[in-house]
Amino acid sequence: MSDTVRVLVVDDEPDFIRLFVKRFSKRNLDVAGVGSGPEALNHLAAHEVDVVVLDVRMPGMDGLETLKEIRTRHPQVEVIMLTGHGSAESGLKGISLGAYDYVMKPFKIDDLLERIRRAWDHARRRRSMEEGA
Amino acid sequence: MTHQAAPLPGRSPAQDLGGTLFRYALPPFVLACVLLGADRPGPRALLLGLAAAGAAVLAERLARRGARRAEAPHHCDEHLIQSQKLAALGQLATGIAHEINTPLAIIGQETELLELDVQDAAASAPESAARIRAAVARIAEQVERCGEITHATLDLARRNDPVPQDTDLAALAEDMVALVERGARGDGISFTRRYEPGMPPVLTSAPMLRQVILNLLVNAAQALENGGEITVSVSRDGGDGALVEVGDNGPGIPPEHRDRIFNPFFTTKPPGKGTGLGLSVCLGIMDRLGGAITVLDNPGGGARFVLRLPLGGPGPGTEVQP
Repeated sequence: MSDTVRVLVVDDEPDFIRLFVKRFSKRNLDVAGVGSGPEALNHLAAHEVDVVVLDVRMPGMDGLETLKEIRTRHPQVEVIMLTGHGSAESGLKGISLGAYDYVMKPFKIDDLLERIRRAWDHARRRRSMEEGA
Repeated sequence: MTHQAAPLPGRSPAQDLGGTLFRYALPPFVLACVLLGADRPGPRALLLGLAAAGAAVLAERLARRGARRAEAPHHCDEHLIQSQKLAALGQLATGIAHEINTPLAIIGQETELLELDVQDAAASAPESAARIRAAVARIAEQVERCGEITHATLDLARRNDPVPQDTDLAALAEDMVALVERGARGDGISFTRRYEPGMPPVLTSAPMLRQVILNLLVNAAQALENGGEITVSVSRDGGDGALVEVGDNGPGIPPEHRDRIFNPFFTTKPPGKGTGLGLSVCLGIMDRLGGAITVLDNPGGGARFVLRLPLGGPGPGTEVQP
């Protein structure tokens, strides 16, 4: 298994994605970015991804709907939700739907990096538990 | 410690009978019902399910009647009964949720078709079209609500094994507090943190614990309609455990509700505000984490939920043993 964390960031703001991909690529993550829920599902169908960083509020298919689909189609992928407004109810919904973590914007890059690594560690541990079972 | 929900000692004959029935006969019985029901969908499966529910209620009543007569409280038995009740009800509820999901999907699809038909008809009768459209929107909304309930129910019984990671409890609790605090800005709720310094990491499932703590915080905030204070503390519990406590100074939980609040579908919230599954989900998760959840009176009034976790992880013995 490779030690490079493969990350997909999903956000409807192109500037945010561009910056995210640039900053996290410098930290040795393998990062791709897309602008919507359906694009995220297409990407996941074609590429191996460890952790998805998913914006809650997006036009059309929103973050929670996208999360539900990802959890159904790709249960091995960990999802970190990003929220700009902080609503406890939507947070609870996201976490109940199986999001690994729920992070408020703005975030510190090192903090999010650490959370991505922990999500990745969670996925690896789960896989080895399933293989051991 | 001010209160222990419905102490359940293990001596009287009635309790023995009820407890025995509950422990040994019920889980296989319910399982058999669910299995039998699986290839006989429809009313028959439901009848079998209801019979199982009846047996569950009877067994529990017998157990409780015995419990009331005896004296010494025994926490473990109570916890065991709660867990097994949850498991039996979970199996039953899962069967029903599965059965209901299909007709629900059909209603949802027909509603979408109806919306299209109304668009076509709108030209000839705009006023009645508007009325129909409003009715269709209400149907769609209620279908969505039913769907949330069936999904939450299925979630209750889903047995995801926890994936333990070394977890900083205070940092995890603080993330959830910060989220609720930001969402509750302007609601007159203040948050007090008491995080014991120098806590060792706890080997546990971080996402599951987030779900439990956030659930308790959302409940606490909802109990403080007119503002108030939420206190969150993280501390050590003896040499091998940790405690997370979430307290509020709201109206509290009346004693007669104490032993029911962890039951699936028990809720005191207004219709549509909660599914009544939150605390049962929390209980199920704490079980899987090898911990426990209890409710106490808050010294300053209100309710206080206490989570106990083993520092060293869920371990192999977390399954509920009969």
